[in-house]
Amino acid sequence: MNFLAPALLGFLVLIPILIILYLIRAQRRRQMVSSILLWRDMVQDLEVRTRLRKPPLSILMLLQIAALAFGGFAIARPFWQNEPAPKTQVIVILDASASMQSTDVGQRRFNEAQRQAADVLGRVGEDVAGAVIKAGTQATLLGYSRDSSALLAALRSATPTDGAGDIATAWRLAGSIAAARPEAQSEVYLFSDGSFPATALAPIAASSRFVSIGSSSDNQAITQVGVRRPLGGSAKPVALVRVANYSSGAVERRIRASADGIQFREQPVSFNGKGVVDLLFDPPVGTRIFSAQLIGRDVLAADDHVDAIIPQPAENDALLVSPSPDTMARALRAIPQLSLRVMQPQDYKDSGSAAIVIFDNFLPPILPPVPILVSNPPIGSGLASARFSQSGFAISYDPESEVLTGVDLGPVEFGRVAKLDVPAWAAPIVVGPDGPLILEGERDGRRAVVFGFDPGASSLPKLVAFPTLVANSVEWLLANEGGASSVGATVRLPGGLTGDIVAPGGATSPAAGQAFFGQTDKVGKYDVKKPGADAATVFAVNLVDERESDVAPRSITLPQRVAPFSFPTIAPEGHLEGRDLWPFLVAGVLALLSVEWWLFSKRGMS
Amino acid sequence: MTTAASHRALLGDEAFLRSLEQLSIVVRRVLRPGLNGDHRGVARSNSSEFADYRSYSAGDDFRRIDWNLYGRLGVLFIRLSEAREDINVHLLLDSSRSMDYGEPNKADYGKRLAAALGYLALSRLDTVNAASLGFNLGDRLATVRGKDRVFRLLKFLDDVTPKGTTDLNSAMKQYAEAGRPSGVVVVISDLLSPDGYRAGLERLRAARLEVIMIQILSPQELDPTASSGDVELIDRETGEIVEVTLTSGILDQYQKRLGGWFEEIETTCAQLGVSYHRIATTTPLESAVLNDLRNRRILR
Repeated sequence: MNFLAPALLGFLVLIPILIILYLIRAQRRRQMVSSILLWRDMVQDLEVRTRLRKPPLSILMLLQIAALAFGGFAIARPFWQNEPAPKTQVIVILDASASMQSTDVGQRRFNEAQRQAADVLGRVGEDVAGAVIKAGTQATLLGYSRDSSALLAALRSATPTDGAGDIATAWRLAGSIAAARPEAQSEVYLFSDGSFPATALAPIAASSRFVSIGSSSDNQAITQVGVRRPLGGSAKPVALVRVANYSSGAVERRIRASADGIQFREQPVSFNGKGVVDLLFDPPVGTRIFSAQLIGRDVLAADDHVDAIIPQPAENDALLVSPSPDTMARALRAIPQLSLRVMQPQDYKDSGSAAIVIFDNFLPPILPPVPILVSNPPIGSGLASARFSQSGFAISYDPESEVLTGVDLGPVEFGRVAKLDVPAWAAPIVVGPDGPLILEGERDGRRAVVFGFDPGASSLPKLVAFPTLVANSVEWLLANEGGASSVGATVRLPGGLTGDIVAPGGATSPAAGQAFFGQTDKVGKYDVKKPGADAATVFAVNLVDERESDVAPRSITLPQRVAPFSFPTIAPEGHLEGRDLWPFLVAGVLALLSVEWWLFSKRGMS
Repeated sequence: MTTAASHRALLGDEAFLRSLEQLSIVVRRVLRPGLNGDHRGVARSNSSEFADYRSYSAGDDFRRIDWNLYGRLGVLFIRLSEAREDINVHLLLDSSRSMDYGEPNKADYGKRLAAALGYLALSRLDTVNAASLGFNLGDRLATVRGKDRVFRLLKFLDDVTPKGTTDLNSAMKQYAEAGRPSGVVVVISDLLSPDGYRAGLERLRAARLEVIMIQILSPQELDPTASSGDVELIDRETGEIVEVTLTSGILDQYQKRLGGWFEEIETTCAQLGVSYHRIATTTPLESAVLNDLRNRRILR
């Protein structure tokens, strides 16, 4: 029998503690007797013994000790080994990051890593166990066995990913496997081009070796892409593309720009060694997807192409509910592509078809399931608890907030501001001397902005900041976003999506009810496909990772080996040549506790 | 339950009452002369119940001469009869808090036992007195006589509430000094009195009272093995706490202590000429009265 987590045998220290508790003094049960007359003589003897008495050999105590012993052994994960423990463990970590797709070694670096790892795993046999860990966007244990053919099959099945590799987790996983068998000599081999921060590797209880894969830095990449459509959509969209040269020599490349798959421009790009070039493109009006492609060959193709979604102008319905709507209505009507409907509070029932609702000096008890802008919420509405008597002014703001872009609140006098109760879903973006003045946040996946003041009673309508603030708010609330995301990023989905999200590899996920999407591990366009309808792209994912594009192989100094006791251990599930015994022990604990409970309750009843 | 029904419940069913009416308390001492009760005394008297003959002496009542015997033998004999005398039955019921313990409860059992003994005494035209014993002599029932007064006795017993601590010596001494007429004192108690009971019994005996001691104990006192482990034993009377671990060894020790205590009581009672009997509250009252007390010659 062996233990996967022998350190947890320390739990057995609870047994002597239990006995000591019995020895010293237990919480005594209070029991009424007619008289202590008959007990008094005996108690004089007992009082001496109760200080440190001999533990009573009660069946309950014995059962409790047995339960603790079973539990202590169970959490140490004992297993019955059919074969003797391996003398050596060979743990292979394959860097499966995007840079391992570089082809500077005659084939992909990942394939070269597989080949060299296969040589290492050739040692696996009766006395040598092997493990294969893939460090993709997530670290995965592909196999643990003494069967080299099984390990090689697992090794061959691995493929590189389009994003950064999670080397840190893979390294910790290897350390845990090594610590699980401290009696074996563990060797960790990391096959990588070094495209990860050196700080990712912590000391582990195994000897380790870094096997550098790759030979060239000859790579140019698109490292940034951004598209922007000015509010109103009247101006043509613009796209910014940054390209970088990671080789040390000057390079001439060409770049091709496409609008919805149709090339509209191609131009040369001249790089200096390690140089960066920013390019500006103007896709035609109506372009939905902007794409850029570096033409020509380098060692890594994955970073030569980007897609970006251009935000589309859309006619949106807005509903303004206000007892005195003039001030707010003027600002809202100035926003292009926004169709405004005005309503008195007493007429409000629901948001109807409105894409956004503005509540001015009014807030219904039930908020509509659409983005909302709340101006001067009534006291007691849940957003405001009081109103300050003095005029408020802004003393700080969040410069990152899109709602405040181009808005100068410095000269604004807000009048009597409300004491805002900041709900859990919101955060202040403008703060005055008495507390928050403007909040923004996401309520049930829908955005909301709260003005803690009455614009009509402030100096704001006289300033250009007011229409800008309202327009920014509406634009942010409608989340008419475009652009692109990087691999592994979580993407915010527009509301109201139905059907399935189809990833570039063909994997599908339901879109309905999802506010966010995190399975962005493939480069390319992610479409929403509704039954019986054409797919529509909702967002694009690009590599755009300078560390991955800088494919120059790096030398990594691995940390020193340390003693195994300081590491958590992990069992390579499903790959042990033995049988886990903890389920039987846990069953024994439950049985013992049941008997102990039964005996205790029986005595209690009697 | 109405108050009358509550009182009546102390006595048990009709069959038990009819059985009680056939019994009487055995009196071993010479009874006082007075109204003819239903007890045969140790002294001979001239009542109608034949006991023996003796030769005629000057001054004897001519009505007691057995003329039939004179006709056969030609000698005058006086016909003697047993005294049919009444006795005073004193029921002293321990009302300390230690009695309010156990399952079945000792105080309830003691009340029912006292009611049964009182009923059978009243059925024999004996006078009955009753009192509760606590730290001092408690409530007392004025002398009653005749079966029709049984409900006064039952009400008194029903109203006895266990409270306070025990000092049997003091309580029995006070009762003996209260100038009660002689008779039979039935003390019903658990005898769990910190200062003992001997001095009190001696005072009762000195007052020419026949004493019957009936000790009532609960099964929890006789055999506390149902408990185990670490316990705080709380004295029901004083609230005093002792901590003890109830192991089998300790429980064996308790049993020895209990046996020694019983032996001490029996010795004391024997020395003082006190009839002693111990009853567990698990014993049905009917069985205790009709069997045990008769077997012990306390009842006849």
